[in-house]
Amino acid sequence: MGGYAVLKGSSYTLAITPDMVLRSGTTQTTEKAVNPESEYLKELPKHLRSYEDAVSYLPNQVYIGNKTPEDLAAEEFPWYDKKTEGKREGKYGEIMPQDEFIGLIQICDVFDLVKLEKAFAKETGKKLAAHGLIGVERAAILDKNEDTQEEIAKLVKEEHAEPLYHDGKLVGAVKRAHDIDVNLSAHVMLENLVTKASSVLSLLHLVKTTGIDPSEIEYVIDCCEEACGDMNQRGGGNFAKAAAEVAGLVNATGSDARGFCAGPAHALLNAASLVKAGTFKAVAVTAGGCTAKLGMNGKDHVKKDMPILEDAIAGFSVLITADDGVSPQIRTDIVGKHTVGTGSSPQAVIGSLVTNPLDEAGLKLTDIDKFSPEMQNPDITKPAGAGDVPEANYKMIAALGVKRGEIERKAIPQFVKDHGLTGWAPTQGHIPSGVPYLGFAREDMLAGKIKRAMIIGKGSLFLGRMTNLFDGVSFVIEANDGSGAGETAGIDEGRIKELIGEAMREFAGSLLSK
Amino acid sequence: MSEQKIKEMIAKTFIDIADGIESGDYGKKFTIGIAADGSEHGEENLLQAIKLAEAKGLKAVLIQGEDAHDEMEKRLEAGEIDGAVTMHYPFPIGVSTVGKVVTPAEGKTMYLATTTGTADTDRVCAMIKNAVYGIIAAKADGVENPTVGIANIDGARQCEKALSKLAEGGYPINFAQSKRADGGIVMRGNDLLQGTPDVMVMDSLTGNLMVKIFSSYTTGGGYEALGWGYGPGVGEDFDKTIMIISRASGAPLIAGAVEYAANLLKNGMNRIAKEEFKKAKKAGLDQILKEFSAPKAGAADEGEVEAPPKEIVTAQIPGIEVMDLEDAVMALWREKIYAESGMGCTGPIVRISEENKERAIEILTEKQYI
Repeated sequence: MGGYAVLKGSSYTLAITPDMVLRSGTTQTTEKAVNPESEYLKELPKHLRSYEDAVSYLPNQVYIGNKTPEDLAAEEFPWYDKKTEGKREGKYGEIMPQDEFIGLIQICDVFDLVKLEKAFAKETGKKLAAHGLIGVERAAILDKNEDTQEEIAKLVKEEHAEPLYHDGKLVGAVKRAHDIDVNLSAHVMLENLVTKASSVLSLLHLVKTTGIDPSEIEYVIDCCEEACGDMNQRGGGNFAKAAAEVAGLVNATGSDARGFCAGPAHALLNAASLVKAGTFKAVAVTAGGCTAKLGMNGKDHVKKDMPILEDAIAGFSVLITADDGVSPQIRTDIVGKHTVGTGSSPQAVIGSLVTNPLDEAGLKLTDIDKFSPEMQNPDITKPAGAGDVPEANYKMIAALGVKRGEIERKAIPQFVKDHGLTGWAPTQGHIPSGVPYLGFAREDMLAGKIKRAMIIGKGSLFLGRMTNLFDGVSFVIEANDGSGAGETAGIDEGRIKELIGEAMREFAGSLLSK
Repeated sequence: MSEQKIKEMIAKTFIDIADGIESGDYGKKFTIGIAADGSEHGEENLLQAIKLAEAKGLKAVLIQGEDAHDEMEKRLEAGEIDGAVTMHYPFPIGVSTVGKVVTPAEGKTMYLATTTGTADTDRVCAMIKNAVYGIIAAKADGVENPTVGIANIDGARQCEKALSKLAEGGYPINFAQSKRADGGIVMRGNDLLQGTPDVMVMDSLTGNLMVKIFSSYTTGGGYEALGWGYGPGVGEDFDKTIMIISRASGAPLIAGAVEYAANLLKNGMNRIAKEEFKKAKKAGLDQILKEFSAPKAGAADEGEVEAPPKEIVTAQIPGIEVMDLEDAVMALWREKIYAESGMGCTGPIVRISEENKERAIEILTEKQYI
């Protein structure tokens, strides 16, 4: 026992980007291409929320840690028509407004691809200089913008640059990084810079929430859903190191891990294993959000006269370190995996990810206090006809429990309530995948409220058309049992007796030989 | 572990050694409580048993009174005693005892799995579990790789199949061979007397009969003089060392039970049990138990639907209640639409070809799946 890697902390951030919903979300860009005069496109702008509305949206406040999953469960559904007392800063991160996020994109641009309109840049630069985690030094780059709106419009019109809008006004552009290579087109560069910037924001918050010296982080694993590279290596990478550079993790290297929505769970397992093996002492797992999924379910939201709830670029970071004797341990010996031979039916998938590893560890379903599968916000998915995603997962877990005789059929609703969570995460694929709960799980374990949680990441690999398989991995985190403290763990009473026995025999031998 | 802790451990070891030098006895002594109110042979028999145990270098104490079981459990809980010898103990379902007898031919020791308690409410499942319990008790008693045979009783052949399957799944079982000419792992009555296997698997009623016969045939039946008794309760979540004897058990057998208990404690039966259960489960024990349990009445066959020819399914339909997902797929198959169910990252989905998507949504809507 002992010597597990531990969950040292996590951060969660959002950037509210209504203008990007209109221009970068694939639901909208597809509609523009196919049906440019559609009712949806006309109606859409009226359904965009203000920054303040997004801040006072309860699920967002849960995401950054100001409210808890319990608060959310207690609130009457739906949530979009209600307001909560909201703050920009949260225990785990922040909700950044669009203008500052555009500024941060420029800070993250190393190849001079981002051009901002002079007045906008100056204004935004001031705000970022005053931002506690960004500061004067990083924000200084914004002062170098000299372009006028006309010059930027020309870049968009004539140079295939991707426009950046704020409050409906053109305030900047991302230039293409190559004339022919589609992987370096302005569109892809914007997508990748957004991912990088949101990852950087989360990493900065991770350093703040955990209090770690940035130079102590030795490795970074990025698990977002995008890929960066050029035409010769389309997904060559490496977002991880790129973000680590801006976040000031000077002693870190890193790499990207991918697996669609299951990416974060794979990445966390990698990180925990690297730490457990002693390869690195502190590993960060990080991911930024994606523009493509902004307003993904927008048509349904507009049809139902709801605000566009998918208006945020999300990010998260998690710090995994060697056992500190306090933080929850990542039980890399209780791991579920969806294998090539598992099959795709819900029973097979949940069996492979939940009951198989628990069986092997001799645990029952009810030994896991909380399960965290896909934590999609049902406020977003229900109106779009996809149902309550976390609830569907819990029902399936409970149904398996009934089959195994661990849970009574009529106790399913209670099991779902006791061992489940209400979803609050933005629907950006990898973002809701198990990880949003890590912050609360850590706190509840430190407070002794829960003992064990299972993090479950699932992925739909057939989307990439390379395989028809599903995927997923899961692992258990557990309140620290103190087994890893100290350096001589592993010496037991038997070994001590052996050592003493040896010494006594030697002593006897020396008496006899005299 | 801190340096202080290591020092404490070394100091404790030296104290143990010093005690050993003075007393001439070097191992840790386990204290076994005897709570045997209602013995047919009276208290004198119990006191004699304690003396016999002491003569073997063991430590046993008498637990008396009307609520001897309560007192025994309290003392076990408090660690005042390490194990107990008792009678009529109400083990939970799932726990059964592994007896230990001396067989008449060549005086060989044999474990009877099991002799009291109910390992499972299903007969064959109980025998499968009894085999594992028997292996655990034998190993914990110091038999390194015990041989296992199944007594030739009702359910023996199914138990044989199940254990072979468990062995194929990776749970190591060292099968004994009957000493009769045609061999096999099913043991005849002769093998019982010869003690052919180390562990003889049977149901607990048969085992109960056997332990009584084996321990009292020399005295004419009224006094159980031979062997180690009905043995420890073994079960997946059971971690106490509680040995069973009967009202007819005589002092030598009770002393034997104390010895058996001390041995199990010394070798760490709980640890061994945990390991064995883990291995057996990994080899598919739960699945095998499910497979071999008698079919429940009333399970009706539903009409099978044949799958239409397989297609590439790239379109998805979400929003179907997870418990109804397979039915939804069947509903599409009935309409000759090829569909697959899936648990994707966004919850349960039905997957169909792009061409069939609209029609599938129509069907599922009509049938109220979405």
